[in-house]
Amino acid sequence: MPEAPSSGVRINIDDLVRLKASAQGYSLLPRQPVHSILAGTHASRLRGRGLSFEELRRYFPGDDVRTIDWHVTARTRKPHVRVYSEERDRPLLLIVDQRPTMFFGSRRAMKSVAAAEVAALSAWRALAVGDRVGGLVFDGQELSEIEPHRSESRVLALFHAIVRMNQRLAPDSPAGTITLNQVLERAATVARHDSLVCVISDLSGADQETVRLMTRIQAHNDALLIFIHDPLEAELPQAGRLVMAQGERRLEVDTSTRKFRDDYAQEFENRVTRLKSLSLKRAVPLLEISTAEDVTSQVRRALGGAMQNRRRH
Amino acid sequence: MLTLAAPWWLILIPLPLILARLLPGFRPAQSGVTVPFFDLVARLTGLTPTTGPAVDHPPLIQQCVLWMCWILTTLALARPQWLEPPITRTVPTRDLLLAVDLSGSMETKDFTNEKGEKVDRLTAVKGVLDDFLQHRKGDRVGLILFGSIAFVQTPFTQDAEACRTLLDEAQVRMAGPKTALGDAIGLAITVFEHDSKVEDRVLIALTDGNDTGSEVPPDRAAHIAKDQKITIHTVAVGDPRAAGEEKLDEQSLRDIATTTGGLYSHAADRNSLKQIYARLDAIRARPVETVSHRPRRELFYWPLAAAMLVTLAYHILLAWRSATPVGSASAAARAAAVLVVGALSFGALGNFHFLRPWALLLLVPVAAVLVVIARQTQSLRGWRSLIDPELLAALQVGRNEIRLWRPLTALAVVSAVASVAIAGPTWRREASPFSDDESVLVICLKTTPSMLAKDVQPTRLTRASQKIGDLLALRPGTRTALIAYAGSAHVVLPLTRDAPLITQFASDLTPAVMPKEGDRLDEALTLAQEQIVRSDAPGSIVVIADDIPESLSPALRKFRDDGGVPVQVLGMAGEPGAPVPPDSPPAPPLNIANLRQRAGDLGGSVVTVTPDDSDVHSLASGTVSRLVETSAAQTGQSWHDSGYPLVFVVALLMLSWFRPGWFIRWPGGASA
Repeated sequence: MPEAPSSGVRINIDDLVRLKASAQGYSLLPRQPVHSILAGTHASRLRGRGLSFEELRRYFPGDDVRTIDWHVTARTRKPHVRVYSEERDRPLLLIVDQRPTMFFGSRRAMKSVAAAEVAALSAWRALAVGDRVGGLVFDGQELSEIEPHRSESRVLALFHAIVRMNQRLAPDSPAGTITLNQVLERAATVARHDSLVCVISDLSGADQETVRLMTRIQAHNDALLIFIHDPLEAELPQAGRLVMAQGERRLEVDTSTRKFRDDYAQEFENRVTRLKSLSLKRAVPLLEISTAEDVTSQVRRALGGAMQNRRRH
Repeated sequence: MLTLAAPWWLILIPLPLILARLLPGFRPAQSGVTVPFFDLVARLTGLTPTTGPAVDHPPLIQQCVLWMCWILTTLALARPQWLEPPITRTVPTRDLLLAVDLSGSMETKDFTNEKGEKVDRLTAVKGVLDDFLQHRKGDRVGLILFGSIAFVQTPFTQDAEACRTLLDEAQVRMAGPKTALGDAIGLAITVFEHDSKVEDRVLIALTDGNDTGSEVPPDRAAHIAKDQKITIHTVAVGDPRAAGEEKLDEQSLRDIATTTGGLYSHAADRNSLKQIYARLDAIRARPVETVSHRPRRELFYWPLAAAMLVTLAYHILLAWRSATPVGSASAAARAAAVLVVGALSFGALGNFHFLRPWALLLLVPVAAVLVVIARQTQSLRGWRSLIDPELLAALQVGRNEIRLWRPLTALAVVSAVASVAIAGPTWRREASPFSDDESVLVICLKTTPSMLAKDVQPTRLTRASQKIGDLLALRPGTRTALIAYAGSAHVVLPLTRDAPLITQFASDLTPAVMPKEGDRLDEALTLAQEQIVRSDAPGSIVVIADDIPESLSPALRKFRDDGGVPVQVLGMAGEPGAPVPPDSPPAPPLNIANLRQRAGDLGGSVVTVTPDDSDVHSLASGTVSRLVETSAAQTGQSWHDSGYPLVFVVALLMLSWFRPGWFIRWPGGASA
């Protein structure tokens, strides 16, 4: 049974720590389960770790013939194989969005909470397979950088940063000046190569520059877009007059107009289509996470494929 | 016919247009939900976000409804009234004085009436006068009785009936045995001089003409009367063939008549009497003055009710459309029912009541609609169906500050005030020149020596007559009778609408005229009850007395138990310890406890005399409220509809509806 956060509004450190138990049944590694969105047919396989040369040894029957090193075999007249080990080090860089736009949710939890959960699940998973975990956590005013490190305390430090910003969020939080692009810019410099860069965000404010930055990151790293959204962002049901707010500003909208609702839903469709095309073109996989559903099962469904007869997203 | 009593209010109709310009926009205190898609929605709907809640415009249909209500309200302000066809009353243009001879000779039974019976002369006179008074509806009639002296029995009054009754009570020799015809003419001249403004002054002397003991001989008096333009018609009563003291002096009567240009007639001679009538009828010295009164019925509540119904219909329709479970609406209806019942039972207290209590039923749908609106227009309501409560609480900004004056409360207040106005609250009677008030009042005045005590200035009796005057002024146009009692009770004046007449008689009463000493209130009450029963109208009794003896207690109880009308007692005596002038006849001070008990025996109440007229007001309201209970149907029309001023309140409040952004926001209404 996946653990639900104690509150859907704000997350605390215990919630994130508790997710350690749920961090299984999916993988961030190159060899993906067959139903994962990252599986073979998909254009963008996770590159996985680089291989580091371990040793040369005699060939034993059963070894993969492809691993035979012909140069050495020719010199020694004995079949030798090269043994590689997977590189031990593929740092996971979590880019966790905790901007005010993330402070919204209609069912179960806020987007900011869902983002924190996804971050925790990824972090625990990576730590479990012995990867270094670091991250960039940001809200409108602050960008907190945690160097990747293979230690639980570092993960907790990351969690603390997330929780601190998460707790700070309020309906009247100032929008701030930090943009997604600024953070990606930073991520591009931090993740030099062979990192897995997980962008966990609602991707608000994404534009051409974002595409350029993601391309840049993708050139030497694996990138994964985790798109956090709320059902209400996808469509607005008929609910009479709604008063929307943004800081001091108010907008009273009559949701009983069909045209408006259609336009609204269309707008979201377009956005998702754009993101998907981005992920196809740039080989950046897109993972959609809805706030309304338990995050762990969504992640497992997308990256684990443990469930049978699952509807493909 | 339909008129507008205050048409100038119609110029207010365009006022809202101006107000809409001048008034600052109203922004309902709304709490909103912070959403990330704010700008997107703004772009899609083309609405400009406002700093603070939005100033919006009501949907067109709501504007139409509002304007309709406004126009109807101004129409109510213009005070439409239904003018009844004019009721005219002729103001008497003739003043007649009747001088009736009460000398000893009038006892003589020498007159043959129509049935051929022999009756005394006085009876004959009464017969002639009966005829006469029947013909003289609308004239003012005064009555002078004369014997050895002449006195005014009734000053000029239009109440011929009272005149007639007083004449009935006249006894031969009441004013002495002699016949002072000359003095009577002299007195008539004086009365005309004082009380009459009409050109044509007519005196009808009914006498056997045998003047004895006048200070002024009749022919002299007749000449003076002629100078004063008084026409004297003489009617002789009696047998011309009689002689001596009882002889009929036709000649002198003829002379008097000719001197003043009047006619002489014999009481038995119907033809010549008719001539006198014809002469009287021919008097038209000036055009007949009429008082024209057109009763107005207030109709302002129709447009107001229409405005209310339009509003209600609109909101009920929307409530229906929004189709919300109206769980608490039944509670609202119950509350409204309580309100209505409360208002009605409050109306049963005192004089306050509603002319059209059914209009209060409007409060029921009003309350229901308000409850629905209250639930509908909470700005977070729509969100509640979309967002989990916990998240909603976190996302809410701008707490709903509860503003007391907002469209919803305004609608509530307007509706409530309008309902009350339509219901027509009333607490005072309409003073109509011709009141249809059929109710009667009998005043029993104690006339004993103790009433001459001066502990109430100037004397108890004089003060009593002043209070009677005040009391009658509060009951204009109603009929009142006066009964004086001591050891016996007498009707001083039967039921009459002529208030000054009653006041005058009351002030003329002295203990000396009462034949027997004592205190027989019970007899007085019995007489009073007779008067009321005869009038066949709801009535009440006011007793003015300084005390009521305890010995009467059983009699009073019997009176009550025999279905006597409720009695109010005005205690006319000084408080114990009040200063008493030294020349005052000794009399016990006010024994309020005893009076209360006696009033209790009668099932009535006690009011003590006060220096101001609060005692009289209290008495008057006592009589009036009983009227309401007994004959609401008869008196209902004469209540003053006090609902109209409330229309101003409604209009004023309604103006606030034209403030930009001030409207009830129904979900599902067309968005602006």
